[in-house]
Amino acid sequence: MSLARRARLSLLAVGVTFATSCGIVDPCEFGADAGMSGNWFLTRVNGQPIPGSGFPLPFPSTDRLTAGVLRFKTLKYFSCKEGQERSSGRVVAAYALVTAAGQTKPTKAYGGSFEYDNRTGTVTLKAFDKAVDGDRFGEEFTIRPDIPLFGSYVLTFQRNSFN
Amino acid sequence: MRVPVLSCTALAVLSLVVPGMAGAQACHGTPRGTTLAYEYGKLNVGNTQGLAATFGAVKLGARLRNIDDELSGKEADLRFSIPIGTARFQVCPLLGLGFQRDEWDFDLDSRLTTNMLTLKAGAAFGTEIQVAAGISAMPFVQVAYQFSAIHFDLEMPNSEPEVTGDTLSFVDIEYGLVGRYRNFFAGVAANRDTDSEGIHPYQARYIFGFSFSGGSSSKAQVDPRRSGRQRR
Repeated sequence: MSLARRARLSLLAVGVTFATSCGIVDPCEFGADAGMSGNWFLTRVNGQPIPGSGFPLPFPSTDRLTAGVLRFKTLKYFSCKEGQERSSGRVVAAYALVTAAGQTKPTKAYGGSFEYDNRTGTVTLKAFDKAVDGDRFGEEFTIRPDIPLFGSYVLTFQRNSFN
Repeated sequence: MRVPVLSCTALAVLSLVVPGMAGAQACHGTPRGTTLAYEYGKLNVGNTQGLAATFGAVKLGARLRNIDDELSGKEADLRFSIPIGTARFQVCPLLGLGFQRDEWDFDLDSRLTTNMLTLKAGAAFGTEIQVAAGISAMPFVQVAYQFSAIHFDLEMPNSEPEVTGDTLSFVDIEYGLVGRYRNFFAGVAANRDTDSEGIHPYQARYIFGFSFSGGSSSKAQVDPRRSGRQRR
């Protein structure tokens, strides 16, 4: 083997070793419970716990809000720094209503995407290019007042189980 | 005269393109002609496994996605890319089409099915370097703009699910190194996008393949001095 080829081979080996050891070709791995993954249940509306009879809706309706849940599944991370990561994935949002007579109505449910920035604690839920923003503090997540969703209501969710 | 000028230009372009189509796609880390490869992909969460085949300028891939106990899916892609240049250095404009379907069973009877259609356009750059007799290395990098349309289909008992969708666009950067020995090739390719921070990619694919066309075009294209000597 000529000197030039040995040099090329050595250079290649050094390059492969460098790329592998530095993580250039190695994605950081996170557990299924990292980031936003899990079920987040609606616990408060405007800072008040939801009463058993439900909470009145912010627009003209006799229906009352009784429950809500956001289910997140993280699929992609944009940074590997623990506590600094940004991530994205799928989300399912569902809420339950009862009529004035107390009859349960079919649950309203939506599928969509989300993006989470752990540096700022912000979560964006997206569907049909419409976005709803929220803030996360530990295991609590609050959707900011947003007219199309629930008027000016502040919705607070808590994560109580991992998927 | 306009026609001969055009013909000369076309001939010049063809003289660059046609040998590239017949030869190795070093810009994608693929040996010449027809190839078949097993690919294992490592993601941030989960993995993919599947096969990829190339037929000259066309690549077809199909993979299963195993994310976790609740979410799995499948994906397929088609790429058309014409190498310009020799195996020593190639530039390959590319067009791609991808489909991905994920099923997330988030509750006993509830499922979110995501169908995503992706269009891709960009260019790849690569070279094939002979490092020893019969052994060559193909480092490559690909930059492509990706646009995806996503459709969400929700199944939940006792509910009124809304049909929703979303769009997504980003610039994807793929880079890798594939080594070839005779008809066999193996290597790794990693993907990151313009939103990525740090050095880690969001995906890595380990490639193990076989070329049905006798390996590389490197004997003819990589070392022109040697082929020159042979002609003499």
